[in-house]
Amino acid sequence: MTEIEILKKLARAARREDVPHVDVSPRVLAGIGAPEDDLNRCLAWIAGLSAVAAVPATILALQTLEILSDPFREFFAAYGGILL
Amino acid sequence: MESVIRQLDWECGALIASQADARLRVGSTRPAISEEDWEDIGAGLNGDGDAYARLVRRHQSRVASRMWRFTRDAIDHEDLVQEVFVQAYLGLHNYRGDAPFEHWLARIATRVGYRFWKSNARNRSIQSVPIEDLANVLSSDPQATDPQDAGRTLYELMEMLPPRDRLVLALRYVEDRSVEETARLTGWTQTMVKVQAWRARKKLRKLLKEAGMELDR
Repeated sequence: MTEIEILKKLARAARREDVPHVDVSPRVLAGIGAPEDDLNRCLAWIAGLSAVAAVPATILALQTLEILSDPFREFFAAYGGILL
Repeated sequence: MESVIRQLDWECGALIASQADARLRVGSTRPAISEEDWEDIGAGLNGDGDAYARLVRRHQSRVASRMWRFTRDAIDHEDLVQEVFVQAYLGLHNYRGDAPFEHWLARIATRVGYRFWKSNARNRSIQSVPIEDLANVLSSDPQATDPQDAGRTLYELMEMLPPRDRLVLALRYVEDRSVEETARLTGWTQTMVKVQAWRARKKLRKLLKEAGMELDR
């Protein structure tokens, strides 16, 4: 008997072997869902931080706009000293 | 003359159109893959988890049989089957449907199993050829042999070899695959498969002889 015949004989006999039953579908779905969940969590954090930063930025912008659009700003800047 | 040219022009146009149509038809037909697999792959690519779960359930027993050759440990076995389907999902956009889905999975399974063998190569538990088990299995009638014993003995014998030799012997002689199929599954060239198989045979022969087995030429 050669080494190949030995392998083939063993393989023939092992072909009838019962393989353990597995159902990996829930684990596979959990595995492939995980990166997506991480991404969603990361995006939620970015959205939250953006919302928090947006409030003071908006207040600052409104104040700046109000100062710049004040009709008496130039007048007071030019004649403020005289009036006082 | 003008009418003849016009007629020829029209016929050429019709021929080109029919050829393009035929190409489209060939592109849209999928002789290699079942309709339900094709639909579930499409849905899976669009993020439908249930569709991919159906695909997994349909193919997992075949993948499990294949992965049982890479390990005899139930926990590792389940992990390997899972890994195959996770890898398949990550590469699903590369699957073009020109070969059956199970062939594509077999290639991934071979890669995953080989990687597993390579990572465990240093922790091999078997240090010597299981000569007694081997003699028992070989001396008995194949039909009367316990398949579990035969499977375990085969695994232990192959575990004596480095992963590369083990893989080529498993594909060529245990699974009875051709050189071409082995090359496709491993990603090696056919010449490489032949050379590797020859070297692996030589190593196995040496191991068996050192263990005291008499072999034919």
